[in-house]
Amino acid sequence: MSHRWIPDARRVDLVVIEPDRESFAIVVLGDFNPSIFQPLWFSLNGLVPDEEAKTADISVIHKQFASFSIGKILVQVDDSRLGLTTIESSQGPILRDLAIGTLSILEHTPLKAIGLNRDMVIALDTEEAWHAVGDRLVPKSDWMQIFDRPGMRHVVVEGKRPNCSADQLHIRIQPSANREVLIAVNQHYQLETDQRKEVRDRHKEAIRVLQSDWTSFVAYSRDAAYKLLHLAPSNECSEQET
Amino acid sequence: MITAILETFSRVDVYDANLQTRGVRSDAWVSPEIEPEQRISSETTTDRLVSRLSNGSATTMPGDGRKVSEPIRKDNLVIRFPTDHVKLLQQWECVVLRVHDDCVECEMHDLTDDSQPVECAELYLEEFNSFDKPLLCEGAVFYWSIGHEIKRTGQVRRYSELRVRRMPQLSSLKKREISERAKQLSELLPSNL
Repeated sequence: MSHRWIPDARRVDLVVIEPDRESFAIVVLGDFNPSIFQPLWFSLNGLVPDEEAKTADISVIHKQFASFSIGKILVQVDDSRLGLTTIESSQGPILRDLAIGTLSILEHTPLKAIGLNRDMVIALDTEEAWHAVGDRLVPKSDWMQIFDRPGMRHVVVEGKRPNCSADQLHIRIQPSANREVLIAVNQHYQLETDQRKEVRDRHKEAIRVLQSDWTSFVAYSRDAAYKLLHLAPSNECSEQET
Repeated sequence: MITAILETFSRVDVYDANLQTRGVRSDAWVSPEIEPEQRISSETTTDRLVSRLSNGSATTMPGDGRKVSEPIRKDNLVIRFPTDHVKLLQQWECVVLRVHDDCVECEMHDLTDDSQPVECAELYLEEFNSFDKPLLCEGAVFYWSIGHEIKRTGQVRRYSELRVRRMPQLSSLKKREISERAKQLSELLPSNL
């Protein structure tokens, strides 16, 4: 069971959410050389233990693209994108440290943008509650005039987070099988700006984001998921698909 | 700008068979190396590549008998959640105060709830990974995570993990920068301090 119902006179359907599954990802856009990204490179630079580098699970290392797992962290790089991902919630701080370490070494790599990501899968108790999420986020009345059984596939909403230097926040909500809902939060920073033309300045900003904003992002993203599913489902639960 | 923003999204996805029929971009592929004069215009279309992959062959022949690696579709490497997972209950960032008598004395900062006060604890050295032990010294940082490991079968086990933070060695240039900065700051301080 992923959540428990708390009796509350005002909001009887209040739920406390703990993601059933979650992942963290740090994505950096820039000019990368995928062929240097190898497990041994990470261990030689002291970022991961030698033992984990030797047992890395390599999918592909090519001059255009590299993808492998070291320990519980997946590294995916192409010439314009570096992605570090973990699908284990306990690895969040280790992922952040690995990103800081990697970018510290690649201090001459031109960076363009950085995104902090947290993806949470939350199972809802009933099919009615699952449909209610879609009905609330994408009301069906307009769609019903166009076709039958409209259903929400995914919704992406962007905005600005108060008191945060991130340029944009995107929250994607997507239903999946087994009455689950994926809530993906992306906190995006544009590093390449008129004020930060120098590679060095963009690096400093990327490191600052990881050092200063990661912890608050983790808390914020959980709160965002909490609030989005916290709202009481409609009492008139629709029979339409989510 | 918008495209760039969306590219910092993670590639984590939940499986949805209905979305698998979406079109693919040509840059979603890592193509094999082919000599320029042997490039055939239709080779660059994704349809051709898709049909090649659907044949299930591991390699293809460009015509002169040379073997060329199959192209790789980047989206095939989308990250999916595992069926077994760890449900985190609490996590601390710990700063080592000292290591003595096979014990690690540390200061614990709660990462799950930052309103919690700082705590101190002693952990047995043997609880740490063998590759992390050499890094344990005063000032080192490690993470302690506890939770439940939940198997696909429903089996639940206690989970506890200790991982020491790793950071790269400072380059000589970086060390020099820090020294210069420290010198600049010290010059701002009154000399009688």
